[in-house]
Amino acid sequence: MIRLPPWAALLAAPGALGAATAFSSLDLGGSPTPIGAGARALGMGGAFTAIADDATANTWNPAGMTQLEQPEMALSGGYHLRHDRSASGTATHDQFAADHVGVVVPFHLGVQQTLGLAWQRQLDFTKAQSFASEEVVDLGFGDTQTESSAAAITQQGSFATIALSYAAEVVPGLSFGATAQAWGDRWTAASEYESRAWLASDSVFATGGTPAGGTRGTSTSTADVEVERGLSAVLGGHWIVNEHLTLGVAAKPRFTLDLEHALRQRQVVVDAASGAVVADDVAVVRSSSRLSMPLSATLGAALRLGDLRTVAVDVTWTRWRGFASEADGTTSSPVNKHVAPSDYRDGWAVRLGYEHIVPLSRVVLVPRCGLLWEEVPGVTAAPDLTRVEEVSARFDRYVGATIGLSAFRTRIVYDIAAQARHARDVVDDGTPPDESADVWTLVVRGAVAFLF
Amino acid sequence: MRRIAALTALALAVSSCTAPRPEPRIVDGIAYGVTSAPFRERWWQYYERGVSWARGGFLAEAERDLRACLARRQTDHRRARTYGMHFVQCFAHRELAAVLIELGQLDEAEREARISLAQEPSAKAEHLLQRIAALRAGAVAPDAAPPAAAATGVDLVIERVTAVGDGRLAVVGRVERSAALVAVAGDGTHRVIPIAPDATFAADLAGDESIALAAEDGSVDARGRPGAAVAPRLELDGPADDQVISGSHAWYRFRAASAAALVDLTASDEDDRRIARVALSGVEVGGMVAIAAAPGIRTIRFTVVDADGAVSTAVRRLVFAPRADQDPRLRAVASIVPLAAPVDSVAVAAADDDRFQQALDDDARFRVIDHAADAVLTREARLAEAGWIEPATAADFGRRLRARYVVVATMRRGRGDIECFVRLVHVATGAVVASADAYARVRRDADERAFHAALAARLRQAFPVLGGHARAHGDRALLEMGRNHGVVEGMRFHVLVREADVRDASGAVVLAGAARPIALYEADAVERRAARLVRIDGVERAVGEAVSE
Repeated sequence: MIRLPPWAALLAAPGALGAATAFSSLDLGGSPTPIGAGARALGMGGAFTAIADDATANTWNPAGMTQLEQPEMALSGGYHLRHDRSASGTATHDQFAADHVGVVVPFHLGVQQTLGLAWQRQLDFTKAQSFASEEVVDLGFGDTQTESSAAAITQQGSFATIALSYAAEVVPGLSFGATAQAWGDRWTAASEYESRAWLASDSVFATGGTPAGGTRGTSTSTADVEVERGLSAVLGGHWIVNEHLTLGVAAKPRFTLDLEHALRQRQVVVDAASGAVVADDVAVVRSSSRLSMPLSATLGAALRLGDLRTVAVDVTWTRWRGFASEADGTTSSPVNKHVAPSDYRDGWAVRLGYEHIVPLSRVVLVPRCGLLWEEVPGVTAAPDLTRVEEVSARFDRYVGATIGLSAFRTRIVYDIAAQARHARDVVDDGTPPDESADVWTLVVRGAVAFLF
Repeated sequence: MRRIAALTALALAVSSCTAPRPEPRIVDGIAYGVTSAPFRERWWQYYERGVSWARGGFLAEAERDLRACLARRQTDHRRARTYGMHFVQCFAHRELAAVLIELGQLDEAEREARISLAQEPSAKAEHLLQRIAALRAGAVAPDAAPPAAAATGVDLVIERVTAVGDGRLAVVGRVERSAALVAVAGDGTHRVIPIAPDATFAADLAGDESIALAAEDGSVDARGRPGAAVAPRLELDGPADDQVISGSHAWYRFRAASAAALVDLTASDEDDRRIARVALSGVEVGGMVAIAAAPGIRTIRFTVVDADGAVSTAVRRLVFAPRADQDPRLRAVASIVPLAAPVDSVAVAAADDDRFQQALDDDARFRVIDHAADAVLTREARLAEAGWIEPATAADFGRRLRARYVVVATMRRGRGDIECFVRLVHVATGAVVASADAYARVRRDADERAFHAALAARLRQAFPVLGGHARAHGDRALLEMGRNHGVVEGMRFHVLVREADVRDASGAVVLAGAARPIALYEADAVERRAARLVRIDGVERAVGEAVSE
């Protein structure tokens, strides 16, 4: 029988793997509740709910779409990097990916109305990590027992949505809108991820330095997690109070995603002394689970200071107790299976942004900057590796800064933005459960928008 | 989904309860009070509709919409942001001033025009102030023949003048300071006009009568305002000291203001010979003046005089040089982007493009390519937002037509006036290398032609034909002309060699030798009095006579 270190079970168990590892690698603002798309909004620190006046509006606040008088189309992609530093060492992973394609079409039938269609990469699971440990026990009389283990995991994939949005300006300046988002791999062609894990665990008895018994075991597993179905919504309101001030509100009701899991696992155990194969087991397991995403609401305000400057702020409230994973009749937190969803209180995020328009003779430049502070659900560190279940809910507090730049020529807007976030003492699947890490994330996003 | 449907139904129901909107009115087949996009009470839509009303003469509606615009947005700007990356031109203060002038509300019109001028200077706002001053002086009445009132300065405010038939005018106004008011007939006799306790008056003037302030005893003060004279203010915008003028005319834009009525602006040379004069009226006037002078160093003295006899002067020291001779084949090739009209303007008239191109052809500064040959260019030009074509877009046009330069102009037409901003875009770099503007009241076809001719001349002054000398400078060539002469980076020069004269047996010149270009150079670094050249074509380190493209 292979003996694994207790924390390695977190990697080996596909059910936990899907939940526990998935939602710590989010890069869209750092919250497991996805936020909107586009480089312009990212450069504003994510404070875009009250602005929402371009082709990404339907991902932030669908009501803001009614500001558009002409159709717009936008597409964006980005570079995502995460760096963890803990007592065990450092881990870095990065990737390039497409983020969003959307089009917004305004029309007028009695009142100003707008339709929007978008594909958006909402949650990303790409990551890679590895661990190793070795313990040598002196049994006396020249005998030793060596327990060593190593694990490596590579994970790739995302959950995406296809969204249809509608908004209407019910009275001049006051608009309401809604976005319906369909989750599911059959709709989006990008709503599954694959996780490949490799584990090796040796337990070798030696006399006088010569192996005399024990086993060497390896386990390889491939887990596929696919969104079978899911439907979510974003409801928005947008009010142009006056020339200078606009207010926006966006609410995301709680929704669930039905997930299908498929695990193929092979375990091989070899006698350490003779090299004979003791066991070679293959198992294929299919299961399903349900992931509940929490209710959240964002209130935003944008203050326009003349034609050239805009200041915006978003405050987001999230009911984290609604963030839950249900499988085999048991409910746990996707953050950590030893924590109950109800252990989490409501969380907050604040985002600030500023942009300044610089009209030049050949191009209009718009530099931006932003700040953010977010509470993201996490757990405390376990006392040691034998008591990984002794953890409790807490919030990891991320702080971040963003910069961005738009260049507008004729009818094309080029955007680029970068966001850096940092949190201390984060406990997640990037580190052993009894350790915490300092986490840095970097997102660089580029976008192009066409104004028809 | 049912909730969303219910929400939508509620929204539509609420929207049907909004206030009714004024219907556009159609006069002679043209709709007034219209907007390009469905009306949603945005400030730019109030502005656009207000301008549309004004264009049709629906002044009350125009005033209401422009005030509604100003209630939402208080600044005039050429690139006012609507949403996202969309910009329009907004001159709500200025256009309101124009409407108020028509309504005879001169005080508020002046306030609005001054606000506009302070926020975003424009030739039209200057003109409106000039017109207000003239109206106050009684020189011009809105919607009536010009009244024969004398220039009186700011003590007398004429608020409304109405033609009542038989050449008679009904005049309503007020006297700002304690003074007597008389109606002066053409034979010099006068009668006192009663002034109400609140300092207002209403007078019925005969065809030959004008209004003037009088002394307390009723005797007429010809100047209309006693007291110490205060020097008028004079501002000039044009060639600076030591600037070299290629040709015989220098164009200046001026602005004059005085507490008393302005009389005239004159320009005289160092021998005190008058070389230009512009008759002025009103207390604040703007316009353009052309100074003609013979080649040489000229000291030009500008003098503005007001009705009090107060004088202000400004002196410019200019170098007039003969206009360089240029083989027409060497002229720079330019294409003209079709005229664009900002959203608040009447559409460009069918003949405007032709007139503009004709003026440039007549001026002969450029060899103009026929822009009509490129349908794509025309279509794209019409897509220009807010009448503003990006220089980079213009440069693309120029490249397509293989032109060196592109002339981009935005033309705004009002009721009886015209304004045009011209930019010259260097195709290779997309840089604007010269710009000019002009504004004029136009009543006749001849005014339009004169306006376009002046515009072409202003553009030539900003981008003149230059002739000078190129000499070797290390491994490059140096042009003995610089910024002072009008050289700009990227400007090209042909180095010429003059062929020998053909002489008869007696040695007399029968045929002067022709100038033949041997090299083409481009200015890549321009100093005040010299420019460094790089060779584009022809012989290396060519020296000799050089003439600009």
